Amino acid sequence: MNHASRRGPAALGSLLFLLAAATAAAGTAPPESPSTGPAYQVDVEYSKLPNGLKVVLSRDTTAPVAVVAVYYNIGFRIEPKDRTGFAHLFEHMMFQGSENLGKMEFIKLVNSNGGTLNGSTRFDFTNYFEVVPSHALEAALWAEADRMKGLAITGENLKNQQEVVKNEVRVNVLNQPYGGFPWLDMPQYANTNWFNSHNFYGDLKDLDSATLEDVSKFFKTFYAPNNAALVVVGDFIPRRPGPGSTSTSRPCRPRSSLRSPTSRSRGRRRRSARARTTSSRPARRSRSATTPPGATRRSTTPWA
Amino acid sequence: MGLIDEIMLQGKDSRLYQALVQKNGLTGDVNGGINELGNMFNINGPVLWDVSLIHDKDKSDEQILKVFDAEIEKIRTTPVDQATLDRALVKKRSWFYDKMEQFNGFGKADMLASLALFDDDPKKINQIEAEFRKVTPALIQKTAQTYLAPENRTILVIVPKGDAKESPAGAPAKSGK
Repeated sequence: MNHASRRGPAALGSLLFLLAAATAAAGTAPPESPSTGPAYQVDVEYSKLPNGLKVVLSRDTTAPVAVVAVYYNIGFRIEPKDRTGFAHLFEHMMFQGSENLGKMEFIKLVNSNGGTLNGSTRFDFTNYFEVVPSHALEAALWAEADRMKGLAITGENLKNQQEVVKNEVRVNVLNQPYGGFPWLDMPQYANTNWFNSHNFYGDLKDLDSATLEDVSKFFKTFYAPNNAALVVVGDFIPRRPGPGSTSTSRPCRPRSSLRSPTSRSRGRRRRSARARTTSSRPARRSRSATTPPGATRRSTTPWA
Repeated sequence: MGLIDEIMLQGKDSRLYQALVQKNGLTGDVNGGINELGNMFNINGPVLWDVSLIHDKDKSDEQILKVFDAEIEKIRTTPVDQATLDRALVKKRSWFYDKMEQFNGFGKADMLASLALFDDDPKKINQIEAEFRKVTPALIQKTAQTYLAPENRTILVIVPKGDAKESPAGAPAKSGK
């Protein structure tokens, strides 16, 4: 996508406006200090559905586009111990078809409406999102709800995605000079707690060991509406919330006992060396510090 | 750590870039930040702040660490001046606005989803700027002393297989610096 070319005239208009505003301000008020002045405000409407799904709506009608983002509170930090890489493998299964959509139909639905989509697995969550023209928002919400309620967990899909994921690991890590450096390497050296220090992409043998039962159990455990957040950003009319809530569909039920995140270790002082293949240039990385929990939590040090 | 990251590591005005690239020519670039797979907001729990670089064979570990350590020591012992703090704040706010517009609003959705999942309060998105504005030079120093401590650090050196013997870093598991 090339936004620059499409935005040319509008951007110029904004620039002229900004220049004019700056000129007007110069004569009347002292320059704004970075530590004062107005702050950007985001429109936020927050609620929870009866099934526990967190719903955030943020309206922005600048362009007739909407984003649907569904975040599940499961990242690779808390994936099962004998199944390294499973959170990511499972992410792939979310694209293999659901209760009412066959294989590839989700992707076709979004793409044929002029939208795009993706998903990713991170330390503490797995996300799925669609960017669609506003008129296709409801279809995107319906499709997300459909896969939250039920997945096509079949042996064929699992085998297929095990091979896809293993190949992804080969392409990005095993056959790549400095592959996985530093994001995948460093946590394995810096941390002692398994949850922080295992191979997040997955050992190939663990990926091979995954069973349909594992997939089913993981889905039931972590992909419950009360372990997820749905966010809609963009040009929409706030009227009806999303997955699991529409009167036309069977409700998506919450899970009664959710597994709570496991304690996460701090880093430890250590210096390691290891040999790697290819490339004639040695790489090094110095890392300082395990930082405090996310910026919005508790103490003031995260902000500093 | 959000503003320390800006002061130390983000952008060409950052202290580590200036010291390692501009002044000493030890590498071509310095990378890293808080949370390798995201940012300081889309993470729940302790996370690494990391700095990484790739260097030529004729530059030694010791040379690089010496320059690196001097910058870490400086932020731990000398309060930053207001101009430095102001610049960090401008960079952080700029990052935040950029994030709000990223990919047709996906950046905003990502932050709202993280705040909903981990804090049960997505409205905190509107306090982010105010919280950064409260940071003082004293808080910067206290934070650096707490988290950028030698005992809280890991150094990982990756050496190409063929070079393992000739490089001093190739020795197995040296004790921490």
